[in-house]
Amino acid sequence: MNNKKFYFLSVLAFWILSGCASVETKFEAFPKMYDENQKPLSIVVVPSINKTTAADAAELINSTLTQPFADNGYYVLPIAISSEIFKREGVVAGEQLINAPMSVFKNNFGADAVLFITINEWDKKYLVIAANVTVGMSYVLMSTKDREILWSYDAALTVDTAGQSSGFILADIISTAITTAATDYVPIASQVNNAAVGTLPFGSYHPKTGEDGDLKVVLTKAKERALDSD
Amino acid sequence: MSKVIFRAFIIISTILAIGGCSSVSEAGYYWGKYPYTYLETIRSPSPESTEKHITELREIVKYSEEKELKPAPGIYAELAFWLSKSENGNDTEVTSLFNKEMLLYPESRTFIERLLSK
Repeated sequence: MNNKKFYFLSVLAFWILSGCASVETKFEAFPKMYDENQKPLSIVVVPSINKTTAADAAELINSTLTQPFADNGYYVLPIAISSEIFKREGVVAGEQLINAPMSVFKNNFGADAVLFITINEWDKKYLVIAANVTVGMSYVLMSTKDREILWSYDAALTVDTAGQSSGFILADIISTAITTAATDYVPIASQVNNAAVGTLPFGSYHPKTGEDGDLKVVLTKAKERALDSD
Repeated sequence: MSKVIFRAFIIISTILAIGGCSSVSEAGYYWGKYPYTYLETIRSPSPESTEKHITELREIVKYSEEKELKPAPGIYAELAFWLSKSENGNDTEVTSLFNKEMLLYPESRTFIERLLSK
């Protein structure tokens, strides 16, 4: 019995160690976020880079973004205002700003950090009795002082969008079609943003700021991939 | 029988308590229906969606002030911004809201002073 248990545990350990998911503490993963000289307070969000064909994906991500970042302790410059300023300056997609000098964000917005967001995937799947959406996102938080990457996140998430089965296939086909058409994507976009923010160290306005360094987070993909701009 | 009623009472009040608390975040912010009314202004920009969003932002400010919560980052500034676009807005209120934002969140000063200077 003990041998079996040992065998099971070693297999489990091997599986975790060899998998592509890495478990690190927040401090190990993002040490700059715990350095008083580098930890940002204010964040300006630039227009998302949308690599998908879902035109409404960026709007959904944008409108559900401020809440989790602010709740996590940061000052997010009001996106409604900043996005209008970018638009007025001819910037409609974040690609245009990747190589912009950081002084643009520091002098005009007084921001300590810039948040770049890329939507890599937004696939709605309509199955016979179910529907889901797979959302792939990457987030990069860059310091306006020195272009250092302070935090990044890159993952794909699948969220069910349809309700329960009625037990009658035909009725289900019809109801899946109906629910999908009228699906409320706001909670889905919120879930995606919340998952990302779950790995973000608490900012200065959070009651537990500086105390979450030992918290373990699962980083599903290499941090570097999130920086890929092509 | 009364035990059952008592238990049901406990369960229901727990649900209500949790539900009530969950609308205020750990950082102490209340957001109301913010994402929905904001999304509406992006999807269908119109005087109607603007007014609806203004109403919701006012609601958030009112609730936060009543419960002695700090309005979330950007709420005062955004209300000022939308009022400046609305027929029902006036300059005095817009300026006073922008000032409230700067007072509450000093890191917004650079941004807001630039907005006001234009």
